[in-house]
Amino acid sequence: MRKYRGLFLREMYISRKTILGTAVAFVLVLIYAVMIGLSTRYGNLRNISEEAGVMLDMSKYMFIFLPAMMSSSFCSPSASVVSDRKCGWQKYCYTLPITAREFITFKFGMIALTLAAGFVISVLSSMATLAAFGESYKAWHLLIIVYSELMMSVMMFVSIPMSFFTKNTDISGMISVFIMYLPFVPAGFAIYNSSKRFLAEHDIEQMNDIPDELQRAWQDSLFRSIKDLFTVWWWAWALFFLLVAAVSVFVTKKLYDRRVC
Amino acid sequence: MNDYENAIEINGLTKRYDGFTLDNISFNVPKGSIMGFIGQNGAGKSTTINAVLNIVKADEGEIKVMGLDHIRDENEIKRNIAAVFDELPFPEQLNANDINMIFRDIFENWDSGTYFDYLDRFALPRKKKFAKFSKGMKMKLQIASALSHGAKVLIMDEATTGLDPVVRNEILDIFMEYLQDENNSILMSSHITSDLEKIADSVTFIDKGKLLITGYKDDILDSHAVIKCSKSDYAEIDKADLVSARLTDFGAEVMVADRSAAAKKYSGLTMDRTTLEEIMLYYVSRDKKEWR
Repeated sequence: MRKYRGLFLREMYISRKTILGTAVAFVLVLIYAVMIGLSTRYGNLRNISEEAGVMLDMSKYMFIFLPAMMSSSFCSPSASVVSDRKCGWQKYCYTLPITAREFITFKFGMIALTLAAGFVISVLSSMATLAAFGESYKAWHLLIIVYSELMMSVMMFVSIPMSFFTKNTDISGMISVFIMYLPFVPAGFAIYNSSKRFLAEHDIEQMNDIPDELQRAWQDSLFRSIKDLFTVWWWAWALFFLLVAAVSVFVTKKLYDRRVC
Repeated sequence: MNDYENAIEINGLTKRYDGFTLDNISFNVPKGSIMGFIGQNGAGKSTTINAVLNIVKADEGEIKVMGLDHIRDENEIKRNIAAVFDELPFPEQLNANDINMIFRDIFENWDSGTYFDYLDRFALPRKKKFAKFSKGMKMKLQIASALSHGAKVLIMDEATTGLDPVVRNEILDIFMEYLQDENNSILMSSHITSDLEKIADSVTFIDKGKLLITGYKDDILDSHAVIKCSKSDYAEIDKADLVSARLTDFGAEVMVADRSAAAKKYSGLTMDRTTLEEIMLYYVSRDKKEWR
């Protein structure tokens, strides 16, 4: 464990400025979001027009989840791999009493630690923001945070071996984002096909002429099929995450064994 | 740690790259000694050192460090060696205090007292970022950290290159102190042959991936000689006896590898002692035999 503490300290010393900067920005955004929320209940924003209220509702969730999203940006494993290679630390690391297993455990452990910290901070900050807006915490709020963290983790997992290959944070970042969004492609097609099938089966132009009950039944049917799709997609996403994690660990181990530096 | 005779043993080390082969290199670094590892740029010194450190995977051959297999016992070896490279491998945002905090957890035998003593001795600031360090300061810091975890073998790749003579001298003194402990050994690659002449016990010379000379420095310097002769005398010298010859307007300067045999064979000619730098120059031109 001592070695991990040494490696952890090194990461902290290197990124102390980034962490401090992000923490300050995070607190400012959180305070801003809470003040907006409080203002909608007790301040000037309580008396705004209906149109502006709709806009505020839309942006409310941005305020609620923005601090949560920011919490995951405390650590950048790809930047650390690239800077380690550039300054020669990666080569030096092979001369230290650190085994491949310890190196891999540390690198991916740092991601897990970052995500865990990000999750806790996200939940706390979104709870504070929601409370300021006078809303109670619901399961879907948590779900959004969990999947935001999962998406971030895919990006972080992919970026480690990619940074070894490319030696460039921007390129490895772009590839990681591309892979992170891959599951959205089949999901988009599935939603498109589902909507298309719905429209083929229902005459939408006659919508105003049919009774409200039937309209609601149609809507329910559409929402149910989309919800079913999302359920499948969430599971597919979780599997995708596991697959990416396994491949990423495997490739990083191979690269370490090949002594890429 | 087992008992061992040689700090490093290299047997038949071969590594093939596209356009370069490190070819069947074998030499030993005796325990308690300092070996100078010399050769031109691209001769294969760094490849050899990286193979010893298991940063480069050898295609063939066997390497032992402190009597242990360099792959099977890698972790045990790396607890007891220190590597020093030509550039500081620490991120520039860090300072000397940070290094102490990091390495005291990474190395079991890290000694903060020794480390800070070296920092004081080298007059290195503890809180200044490495980005603001000069090249000499960076190298001193690397050496301070290399010598603070009780390493038995110090492996250095061009560590003194680019340093001014004062700093180099200071560092060489530290190495001499380090070698006061007879369990400590150094393998040091360098272009600066004068430094090696000053401190090395033995020397290994490689060129174009091939081992040319390995042995005790004094033996190498004693066995080689430069014969300064006229053109007519040069014509009399058997070309098989010479390493190579530098032709001048007045005659030739000929290097021989067997001084005593040459002294008997060419008794009328004057033989001068040589230096490691001259040996390097003459051996590098050995294929063309004559050069200017």
